[in-house]
Amino acid sequence: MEVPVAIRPAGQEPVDASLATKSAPAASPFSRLARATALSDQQYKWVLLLPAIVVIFLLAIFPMAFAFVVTFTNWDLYLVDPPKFIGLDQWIRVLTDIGFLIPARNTIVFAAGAVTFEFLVGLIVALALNNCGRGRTFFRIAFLLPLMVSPVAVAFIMGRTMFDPSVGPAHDILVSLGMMPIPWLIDSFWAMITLIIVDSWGGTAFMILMLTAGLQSLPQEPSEAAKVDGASEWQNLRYVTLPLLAPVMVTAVLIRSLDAFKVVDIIATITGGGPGNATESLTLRVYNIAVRGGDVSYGATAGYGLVIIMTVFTVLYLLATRSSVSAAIGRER
Amino acid sequence: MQAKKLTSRREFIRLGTIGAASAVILVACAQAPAAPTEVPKAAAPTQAPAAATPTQAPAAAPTQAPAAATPTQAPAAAKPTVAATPAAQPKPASKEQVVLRYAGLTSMGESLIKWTKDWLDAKNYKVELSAYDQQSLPEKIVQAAATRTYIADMIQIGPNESIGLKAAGYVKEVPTDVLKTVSWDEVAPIFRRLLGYKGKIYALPYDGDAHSAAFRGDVFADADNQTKFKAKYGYAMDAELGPKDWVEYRNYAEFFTGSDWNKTGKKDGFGFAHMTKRNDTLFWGFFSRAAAYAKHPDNPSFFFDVKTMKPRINNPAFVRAVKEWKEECDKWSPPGGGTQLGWGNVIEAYTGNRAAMCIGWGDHGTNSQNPETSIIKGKSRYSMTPGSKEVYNDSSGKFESMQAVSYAPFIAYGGWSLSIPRDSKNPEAAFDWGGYCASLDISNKMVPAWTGANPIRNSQFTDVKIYTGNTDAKWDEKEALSYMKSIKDTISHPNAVADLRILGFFEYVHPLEEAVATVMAGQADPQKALDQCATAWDTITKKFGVDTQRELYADAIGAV
Repeated sequence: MEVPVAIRPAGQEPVDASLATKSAPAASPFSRLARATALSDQQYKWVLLLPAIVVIFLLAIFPMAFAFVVTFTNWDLYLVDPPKFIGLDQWIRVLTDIGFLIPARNTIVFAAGAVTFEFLVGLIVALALNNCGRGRTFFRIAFLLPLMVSPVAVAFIMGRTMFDPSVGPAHDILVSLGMMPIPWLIDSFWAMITLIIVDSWGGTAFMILMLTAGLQSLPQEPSEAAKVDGASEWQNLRYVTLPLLAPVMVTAVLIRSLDAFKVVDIIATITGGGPGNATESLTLRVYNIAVRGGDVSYGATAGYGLVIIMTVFTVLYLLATRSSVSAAIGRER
Repeated sequence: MQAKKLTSRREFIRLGTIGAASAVILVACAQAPAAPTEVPKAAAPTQAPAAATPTQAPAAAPTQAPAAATPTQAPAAAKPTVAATPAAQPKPASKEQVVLRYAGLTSMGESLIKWTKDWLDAKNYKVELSAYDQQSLPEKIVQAAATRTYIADMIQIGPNESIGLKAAGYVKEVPTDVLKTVSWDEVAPIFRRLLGYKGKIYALPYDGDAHSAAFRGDVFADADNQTKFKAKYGYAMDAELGPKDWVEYRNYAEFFTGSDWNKTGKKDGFGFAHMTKRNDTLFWGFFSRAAAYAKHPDNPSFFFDVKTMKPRINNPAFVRAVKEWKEECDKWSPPGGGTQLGWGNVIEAYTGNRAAMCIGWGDHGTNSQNPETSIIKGKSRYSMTPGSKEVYNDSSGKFESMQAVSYAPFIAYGGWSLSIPRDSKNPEAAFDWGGYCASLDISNKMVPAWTGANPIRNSQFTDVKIYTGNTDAKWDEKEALSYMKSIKDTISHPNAVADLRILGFFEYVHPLEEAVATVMAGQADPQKALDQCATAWDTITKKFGVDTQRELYADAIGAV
């Protein structure tokens, strides 16, 4: 393309197009391919999105649709006959199964306890990291390391081994300090506490990651203005920083809550749902029914029930936090 | 100088996207499925000092007829001749390497591959192990069968869940020539039965499972313990056969709890360790405890009434068993013993010198020989699980007092076996290798060591040299004799309890474990919990068809 005369550097003459045509090298295979498959911008958009669409379809949409269809059948892996359509029978069975009440209670207790603990600790650490001068990078990496470890490995080493009621280090430390040993995995209450502690290993790291990123992205002017107006550190935090951080906090809590609702790996590894059914979660129950027991259609129905519950929770949660988020966005503007 | 023609950014992105997508697809197609990681075992606890050598000779036991098949079967020979293993394989080595995929437990699979390595090399076979843990292996196989997905050329499967696979035609019938190579007639009759379905054989013998009791014979024989025990309970401890019924078992457990019988310098010994963990092996642990009360010698029914298929699980026998078991575990087993001990934990507690007794599969004996995890090698003795002088009678609806102790050993699980799925890519080679894996030679190497394979052949209940001569385990002769006798008595007892071998086995496990676990945790009333379990079992039975399940159950317990 010829450079316009007005902005062409002094002394430079326009390139003779005929010379370019006469002496241009032969078109490369890439160029020929490009000309042959010339696509518009709109079409390029879809080409670039296509791999992601295919992956999401194969790994998410198709399985969900298939599972939904299965909820209307009597598919059981141990049934010799092929599955049959049975209408809403499985849905009625799930809705009337009181066996889900205790796992539902356990799941809510676990999610509430774990997320609250992880959020509070994560926020404190994030605030500290934000104000940290030296060693910030080191501490950031150190606090994020738990995210890189397999949850099952953490569950086994921390939960099963460290909190073993007889030979675990947690037991030994308490006894050596002259304290009464805690029945970590034996008592219903302490078993739930153990699970929350183990889950916090990774959950807190996630909170730190999210909240640190949020704090880093906040504008500095409101905080500086507040200082100029004589606000204390606490007032600055409470009336300026935290409200501005609200959207990030809401998102982080929502993501961790949804993760906590789905918990199965650490429970299966540490307590197996025990003692009794004191730590059995909804997902573990679905696993026992569908995967271990082979009653796939009932398990799929129960799984969809859990999806509905989590969707309702998400909607209600977002509605409840809408005002805080809007206020924060208003302030930023 | 001519300007170099550059690829435009758009072109670059387009071609890069195509290339990346192609690479992902190619890599995904080339990947083999990853094997699940095995949960590592916990470290063994500290040392125990050497214990006194038992001085009593083993008591002679009456010859028992084999159980569970039919009451009229001939008793096993005292010393059956060992069938010779074929020296050479009938099929020559393959010209091209044959790759076989084997879906099995991590430890057992690795042992099999290790012991058959030379044979595999000679035949030009290569085995890829798809390793799974004990809970997920049956699930994966059943899922593969139901979805018609190839999982392996040979699978390791148990009788409980394989009945559905056999009924559905998922596994191939074992050819006659392969049966010849595994010395079929040498396999104990009770286990031969479990490998078949409707008169045909669908699995190769590999492992014989039944529950027996293990206890510290050295500790029982200790003179000081003997004196104190007799003074307290009025009868002498039996250092060779242990407690005979559940009353004695409770006495022994109480006596050894809170004392320094294990010579650690602290009173940290416990009476016993049983498997009580949910989603682990609670199902088998409970029925081992309950069998003596619930299995009447005159009634073949145990889990269900064999005529009506009504669950018996909530009758007074099972209710009493779970009540007593809870009390025993709360008082006389290690912390968490009532709810948190899986089979692995039980072995650790027993071989780690913390529990004086345990009940479970023959692994308690083989793991006692492992120098890396056991400190009680040579000190154990074994017997059938305790019996009872009170047994519940369905006809009268009451507990009946028996003149002698009534035993009802539980043939728990029945043993892993090797089968070839119908979609095996190399069925001939798979049967070839499977036949060698199930041969007497390999079996005699696997059974005495801590491989997970328990005695299954007649010679393994009588020929002590298999154990004392094993290069890994090197059993003490007296211990080996006690071990063999306990398992032989168990599997040949006329009142032995066959495990539940009907469709949807694991669907029955879940409500049972939930009921028992909640009682053991003090969260539920025993009768109410077992009533709920019975209702759930009834629903499951109706789903699969009462007649179908009754036919299978009757076949499993030999009441056809």
